[in-house]
Amino acid sequence: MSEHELDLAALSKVGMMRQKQPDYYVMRLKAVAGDMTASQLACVAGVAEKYGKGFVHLSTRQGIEIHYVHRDNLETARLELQSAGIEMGACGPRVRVIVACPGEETCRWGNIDTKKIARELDRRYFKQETPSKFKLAVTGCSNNCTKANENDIGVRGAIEPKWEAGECNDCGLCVSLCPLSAIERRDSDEGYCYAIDEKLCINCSVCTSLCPSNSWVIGRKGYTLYIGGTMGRVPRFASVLKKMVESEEELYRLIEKAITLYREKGRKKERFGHMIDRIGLEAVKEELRGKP
Amino acid sequence: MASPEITKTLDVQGISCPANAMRVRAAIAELKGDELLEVLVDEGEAVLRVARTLKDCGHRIVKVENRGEGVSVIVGK
Repeated sequence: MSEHELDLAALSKVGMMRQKQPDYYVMRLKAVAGDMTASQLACVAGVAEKYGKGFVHLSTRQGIEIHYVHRDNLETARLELQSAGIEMGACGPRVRVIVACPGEETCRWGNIDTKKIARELDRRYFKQETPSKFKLAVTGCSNNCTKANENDIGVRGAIEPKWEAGECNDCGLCVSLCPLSAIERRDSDEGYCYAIDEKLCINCSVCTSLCPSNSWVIGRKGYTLYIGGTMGRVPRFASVLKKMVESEEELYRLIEKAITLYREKGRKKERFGHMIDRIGLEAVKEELRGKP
Repeated sequence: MASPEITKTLDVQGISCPANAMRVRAAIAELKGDELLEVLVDEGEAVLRVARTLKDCGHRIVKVENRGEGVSVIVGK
């Protein structure tokens, strides 16, 4: 490997990629869950003016890239960004910036604190080396805005709804609203009840959020964990490792096991999902969850 | 339960969000006392949007029934 190539690998590790144009680079910035402060944005704008061509590119993973930075200015630009608390993103065979939707803090449908999970995953894994690129996304609910199932690891907020007679006035709104038509009204000893088909339920929060009498309540709340999703050259939707992970501890334990397994068994440049297909999904699930 | 007495009907099928929900709100504002309004709304996103608005405004939903590609929502103040 020549000195120049070595240099490129080192730059790629810290989120700088060579452009087609000789001596010009893309600076990929890190924004966990897509968040940046206004003053950080001002700093990015300044750096793009001073060292780039006065524009930025928004990446598909909620990041900002500054294009056309000359090789000689990379370090100065990086230090300027660092002074505003902006770190560089990642390229190459390693864990990329964690993507997340706004989650329960601001979104009506959000079931979980997506940003908290994203920050923790960032703390644990960002830039760590893996056989191929490794992407993680956190999404608050079944609307799946950050496409959990298109990532190597996807975390999706999930609730299991439960009907309680309580103040229910038998309006039937839930039957019309359920996106999967999983709710039905049944006659019962008490007159009637509303029941949900758990196999059809996608664990969204439409019934619990919109029931006028709050008769649909959250029974269980947690995370649906996906493994092995990828878009790119050979797309593969992720597989569900566990539909309802009830604690953060268990979530992190399963993710740690998944990444460890990928590091052990993944071939170079083989995405996690393709490794799963090579080994067999059931074998991988068993390895990660333990035997049923 | 005796079927509720409906004094007014409003058809917002084919009207996109949020205009449909705004029309429903305006019609409910004109209801007096126990009067009920029947709203006909498109299934899917539209009924979700209207239901959300009704809950946010604290209006009473009495009965909801699917009618082909639409939904009948009977509401009170």
